Amino acid sequence: MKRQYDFKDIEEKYLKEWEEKEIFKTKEIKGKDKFYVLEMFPYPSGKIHMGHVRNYAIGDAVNRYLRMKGKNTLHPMGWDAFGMPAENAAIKSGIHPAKWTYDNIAYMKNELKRLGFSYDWSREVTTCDPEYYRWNQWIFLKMYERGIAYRKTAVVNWCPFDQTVLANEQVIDGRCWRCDTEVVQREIPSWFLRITDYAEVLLEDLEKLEGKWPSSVITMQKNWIGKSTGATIKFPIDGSTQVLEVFTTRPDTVFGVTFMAVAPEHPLIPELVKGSDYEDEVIGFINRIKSLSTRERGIVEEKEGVFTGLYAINPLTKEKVPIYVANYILWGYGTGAIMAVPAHDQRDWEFAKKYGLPIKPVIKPVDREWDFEKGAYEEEGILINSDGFDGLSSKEAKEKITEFIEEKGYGYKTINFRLRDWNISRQRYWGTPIPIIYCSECGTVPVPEEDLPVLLPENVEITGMGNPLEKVEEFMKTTCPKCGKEARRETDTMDTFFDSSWYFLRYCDAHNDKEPFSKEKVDYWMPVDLYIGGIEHAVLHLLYARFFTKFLHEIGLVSISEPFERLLTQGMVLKKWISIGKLLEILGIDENVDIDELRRKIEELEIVKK
Amino acid sequence: MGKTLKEFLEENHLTLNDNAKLLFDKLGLPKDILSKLEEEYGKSDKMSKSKHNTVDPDEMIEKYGADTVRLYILFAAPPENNFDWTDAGVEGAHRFLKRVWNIILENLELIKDVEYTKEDFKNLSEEDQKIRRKLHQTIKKVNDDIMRNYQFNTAIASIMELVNELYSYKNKSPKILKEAFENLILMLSPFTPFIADELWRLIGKEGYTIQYPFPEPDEEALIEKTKEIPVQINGKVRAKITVPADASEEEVIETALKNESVKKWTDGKQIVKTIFIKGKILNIVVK
Repeated sequence: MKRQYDFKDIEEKYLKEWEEKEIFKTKEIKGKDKFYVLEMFPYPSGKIHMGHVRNYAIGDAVNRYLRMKGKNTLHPMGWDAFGMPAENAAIKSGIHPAKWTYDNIAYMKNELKRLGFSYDWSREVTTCDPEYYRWNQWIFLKMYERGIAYRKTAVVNWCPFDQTVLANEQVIDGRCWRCDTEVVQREIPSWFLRITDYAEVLLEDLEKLEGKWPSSVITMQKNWIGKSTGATIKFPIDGSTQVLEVFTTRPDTVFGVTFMAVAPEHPLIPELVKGSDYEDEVIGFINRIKSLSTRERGIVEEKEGVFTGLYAINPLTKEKVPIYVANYILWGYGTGAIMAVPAHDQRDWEFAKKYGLPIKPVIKPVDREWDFEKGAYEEEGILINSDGFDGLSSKEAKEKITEFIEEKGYGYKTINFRLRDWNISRQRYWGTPIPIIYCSECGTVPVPEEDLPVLLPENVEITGMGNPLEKVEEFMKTTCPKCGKEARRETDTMDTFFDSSWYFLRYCDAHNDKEPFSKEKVDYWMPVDLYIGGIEHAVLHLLYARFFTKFLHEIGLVSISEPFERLLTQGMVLKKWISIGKLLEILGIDENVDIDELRRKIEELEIVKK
Repeated sequence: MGKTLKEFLEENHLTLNDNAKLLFDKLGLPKDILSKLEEEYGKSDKMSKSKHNTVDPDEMIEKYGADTVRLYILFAAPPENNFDWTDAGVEGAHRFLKRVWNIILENLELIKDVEYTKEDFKNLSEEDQKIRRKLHQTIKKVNDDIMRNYQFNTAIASIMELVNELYSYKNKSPKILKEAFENLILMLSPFTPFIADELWRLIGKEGYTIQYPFPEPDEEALIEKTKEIPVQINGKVRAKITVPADASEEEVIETALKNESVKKWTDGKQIVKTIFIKGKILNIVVK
């Protein structure tokens, strides 16, 4: 009798042998061609799903193939283990986030092993392990030293359900990316990373990735960084020493300014209307708009505003134009104030129409007529009504007017980015504690390197409201490293995207207890030659990882300046399904059908006989 | 009179928007009917618990094994594309592995102690040459497809074709089979490592497939040594003849005129003209 294909027996036998013989272990071999194949590490949610299997099956085939082709390959796996689901589980069922997480890791690790994936498990990285997150803290301190990490009070996206701050990237259509609650805005002191310092290089270096990364990902990153060139122009406020600064990408339209519009959050307005006849109405409007959720503000179609009683002077024309607070101006983009040119900006046009403000054309189309009663002409053209600049093309005028403004001291050329600094503060327990101490004498004091890690206390009560760490006395209370007096610890923890911004470096030297990784080992393995994961990480994770790599390169810890040589964004595993309603439609019946009749109809379907 | 569906749905807290799978479960209706309906009329969606259209990896491994799951996922589509998980697809992958298993085990006695060198493949029959060429074309294609954007799906498809050809290979030369099986197993190793390692051991090898070099094509085997070309007589194809790939016009005409089917049309006739396109066709005009 020939042996049958008994997969169960076979697979169990080899799992054991492979593990015993450690055939997937890797080490640096000088002079041998290396290849680093990496799949995005999973969040230990409980069980793996088919999307994981696909992601890792692709990586495994690549690793095994290249190993057989004689490459010295690195193929590690780990766990993106901090984050909210563990805390949510604790709220729901009282299990400690650490236990929940480590139990899930154990289960999922077994699932991955069962699939025969050829990982070098000796390099496993778990981000909630103090041996990992102490290096998060260490990197944070390096950033703090160099002014890349800083604290400021800022308007932030606040999820009222999770009681936490969200990064812009975590707000999807005005809602919390995890729980779908409408996000509101709130002011709160937070820790930021100055990713905007790297905007230019993050944009420029995308060129190096052309042809190696999917072009859709490159485009998404470009748009996210959102570079635009223009001018900042200072409009003096009539009867005040203050000036209103605006950023515009269209300095060629500056002669067409007929009013100014500022965001409700603009700090200058409450100050200037104080005591005036306009104060009540203006403050009332500001408060009404600010109380709306981010989502509600995002979807308002109707432009709305209120006159402040104030005028600004256009430095080029010396004309006085009214200042409005308007709902369509965003605080956080540009200067939070605009010069409104209704003839050439549709939003300004709509606003001008509503409030009876003048529309002054200063650009005419090259090859056709334009009826400014019907809408704004937003394209470029030839300048008119613009004093000495008449007849120039928009392109020429942008340069000439910007030069003129600079000469006269009315403003300056400005490159603006859509990219914001990254707010890493989370008012959550299950994350890396930010290694900062507040002392009433010495102020903000970084935890000395030799005191790392700042351990997450195990004894906490997790209720789902606010930040659990604030209630842990023995964590909160500490002494100032400088003066030795009683001080208070920072209770914010880090956005988990911090953890995943450099984990690929730690795999190169996973057990180093002296430094985050040895430069020699990282220089041997990096860059990752092939990175495989879902397209949903096109902006967040991949941009942050690039930013960290550039920072670490700058401080001499790594030689490379881009972390991922090639990126493969794998497709999804879908499954077809039909609803009960669809089934009835196929059968040509409705829900008043008798159950036995339904059963008979299903069994008699043509398709069954095929 | 029994219950209506409406009453049944209410009792079971189901709505018309729920997955019909839940109704099938409650009524104990056969799953394969549902699969067919889904395939024909279903809507593709991302797997989600709320839609009850998930497929659990653990269940699939239990039922078909890890090798089948891996193979199916890699075979179903190029890595960057979405694909629909189907029962038919995963079963197809499983059947393929059984076919690989069976053909090697059926011939195990024949090949077990056989050794071969390249010298052995010098003067082969036409069928032997053909199967060797197929093997090395497959090796070449698998390497090319993986190196070119990791197109595992087409690489696996060509391995499947090779297995089909091996099933129709009649001559069963032990040396040729041994070479084919060794390479087949090594080519499968990145996708289905378990069955690869077991078969490797069964054909008498040591260690694990990942420790061996991936197959490289034998360039010589790729060269087509003979070619089948059509013979036209007065514009109609009357026969196909096999000739050396680089045969000259004279040699081809000579072979053609010996062919029985050709003879039928040329015997007793006068050959007016011949037109020959090397490696492609021979045209004979008779009167």
